[in-house]
Amino acid sequence: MSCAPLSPVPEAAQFRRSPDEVMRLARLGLSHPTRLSFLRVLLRRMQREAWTFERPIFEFDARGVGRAVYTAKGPERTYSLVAFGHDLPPKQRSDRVIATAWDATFALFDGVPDADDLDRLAANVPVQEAGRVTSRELTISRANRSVRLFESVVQSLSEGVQPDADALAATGYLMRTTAVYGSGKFGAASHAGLRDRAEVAAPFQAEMLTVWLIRTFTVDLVEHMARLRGGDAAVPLDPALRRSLGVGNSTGLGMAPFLVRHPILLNNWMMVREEALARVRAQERAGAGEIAGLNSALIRAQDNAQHWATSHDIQTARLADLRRGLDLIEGHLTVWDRGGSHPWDALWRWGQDHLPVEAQEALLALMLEPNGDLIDGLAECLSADEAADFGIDGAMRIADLRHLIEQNYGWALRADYGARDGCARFWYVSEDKLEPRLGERHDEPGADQELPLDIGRQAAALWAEVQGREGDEPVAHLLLAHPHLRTILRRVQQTATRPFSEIRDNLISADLLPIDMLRCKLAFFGANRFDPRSDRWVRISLFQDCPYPGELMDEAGL
Amino acid sequence: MLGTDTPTGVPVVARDAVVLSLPEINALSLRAARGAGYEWGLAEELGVAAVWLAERGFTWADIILDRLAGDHGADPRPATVRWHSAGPVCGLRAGAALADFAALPEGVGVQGVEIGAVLTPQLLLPFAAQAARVINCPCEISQNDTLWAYVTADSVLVVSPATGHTQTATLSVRRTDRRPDRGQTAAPTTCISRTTYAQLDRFARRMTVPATALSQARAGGDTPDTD
Repeated sequence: MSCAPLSPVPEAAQFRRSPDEVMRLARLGLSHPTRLSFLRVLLRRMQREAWTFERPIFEFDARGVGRAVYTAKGPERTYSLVAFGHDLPPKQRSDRVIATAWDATFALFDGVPDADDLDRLAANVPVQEAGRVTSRELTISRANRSVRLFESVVQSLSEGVQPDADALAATGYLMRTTAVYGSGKFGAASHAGLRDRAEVAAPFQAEMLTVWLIRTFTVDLVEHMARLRGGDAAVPLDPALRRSLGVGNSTGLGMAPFLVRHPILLNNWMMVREEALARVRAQERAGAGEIAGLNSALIRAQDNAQHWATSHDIQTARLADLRRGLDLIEGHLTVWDRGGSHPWDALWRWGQDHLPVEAQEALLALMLEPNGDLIDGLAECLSADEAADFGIDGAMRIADLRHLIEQNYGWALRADYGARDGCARFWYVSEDKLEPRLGERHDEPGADQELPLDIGRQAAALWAEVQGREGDEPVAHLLLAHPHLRTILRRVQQTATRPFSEIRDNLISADLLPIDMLRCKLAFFGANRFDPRSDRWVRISLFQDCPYPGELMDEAGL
Repeated sequence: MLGTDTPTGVPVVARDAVVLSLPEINALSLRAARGAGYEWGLAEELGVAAVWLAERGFTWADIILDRLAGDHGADPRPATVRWHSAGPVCGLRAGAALADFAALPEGVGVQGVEIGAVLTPQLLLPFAAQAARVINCPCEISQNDTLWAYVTADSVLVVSPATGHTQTATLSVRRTDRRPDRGQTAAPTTCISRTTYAQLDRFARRMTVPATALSQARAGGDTPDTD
């Protein structure tokens, strides 16, 4: 990671966790959002740069059919969320990627759209994958209303009554996005092409801005529909209830391969988080302000854990661990030697000895929270020019390749890929929706078109191949004879300076839980209330308890 | 994107054309190469090469299609000064080898290398640029002893355009002290005909797998929303 030589805390190196500890799914799958998560990075930037927000168009009927434009104006450019509201029959409402109609559809436009732009978007955005957008659009997305909440909130507000707070808390959002497409999808602008724009240089900033503005749209829409229904009797949503709402998101297997297909990005995300933890642990003293911030963060985390609902067995057990662990942290903070040497490190080490893994990762997020001055600059290191590091070093000697495999793929060499359970799954692209899927190798056809996500097995094959070769032979010779090893050889070379670029688990084993991959990525987005609906799809919430555009400048502690 | 024979919606340029983003060009080329039977690592190379060509104004889709639909060719056999192959070599495999061997005796080296007959010769250009980056020196590429193009790590300058439009050509690559003072300045070719798109898409579809009832159910269930 290019930022390392500039570290203001060089002694942090001795406090870093090892990739062997961090990059296991049993820990990655318990990730929590932190202040370095992408949505927090976005909110801090917009506050720092005093962005302004307007709603020049908002035209909807009583059923919620119509269009709106929200503008977000930064120091150099303006972006606009274009929203289309539809009246979707309940039978058509589905979170599945195979759905073809939604309650609302959106595009994030580069600039402020004119009438022609809006007409073009109206012809394409509502049909999503069946349409085309252009390089003027940064994202397209869609959302469905919460069946449990949306209509009841409109009805309550129309009658002048605030909706039930517990019901709101149980769901946590009025609408749930089912996809947010960015970076070149369906003709949209690519992330690489916008890299010179500071405001979207960090990962997924356009997507996060889209979702944040959608959140405002959802509240504006229920209040508008309530007014049309109830007239003067209608009331706006109570500010505290409004604040508690986020945007739901339903995510399936399609997101899981991203972490594997983008090893350089994964490395940077992990390195940033781990460097942040190491910097905090390396501090010799804990200031009074930071300690107060830790206590506040703990209270918020406990509140979040209480409102975090799930019916999935695995997550239920993890939630119990989290709640118990947060209580243990609360107890320990009363005896924590905060005046001693390296108190943060002492707190971390205590957590390693006494907390379940779920709460250890929560403690990480808590410790980062009050130390923004020390770590927020690391957000500059989250992105990567993947194309610049695509090339293979054909002159690398086999001995050096062997060393890299030993150093970074020891985990891969221990698995038995010949065993039935060791290769039980295969990843593939489905013919119908061109989405990643996970098949059962021994029960389903299609393994001959397997995606190269079997990283451990490939590494083991490469290891076997290099055993009989001379140490000073260049790898170019190996690639010429074995072109099928090109993908894994490239990855192994990339780990030379990027030790966090691989998930260190067998991704085709019978006991793989894809939701662990999903939670890892979603935590980097800043998602919380992770609620698996099976072992391979999940619902989460974004921007709950965050400021709205009108509140951004007064928000403390972003 | 690949879910229909041709993308629907509003084509930006004309009814019979479609504009693709660079990530779509990469993904389509990669999948098409995989569908055509290339190994994953080479398919990834083709995706990146297609973007390189598109960014510099080359007719990337025609070049890719020529490679995927044409004769698979022989495997390259790199050797010092002159490569030995059993016949015209695959432009993609030859390109990858040119980049892989760039800093080795079998590569561009000091005195250059004769690759021999290459299928889809234009596909060599992005890999020659990779080689130029590896040896940190511009290269010149000749076809049948006629200078064809200069490449640096970042740019290309075609000096005899007509030479490149062949399906097979005898190529040689060597270092040059002449750093071209300008690169190709053509606009990116992100617009392709729907016919070409459909041909590439047909290759891409070969790497997909029909969903089974089991996989569909596990991907999310078929019940309507109740939340």
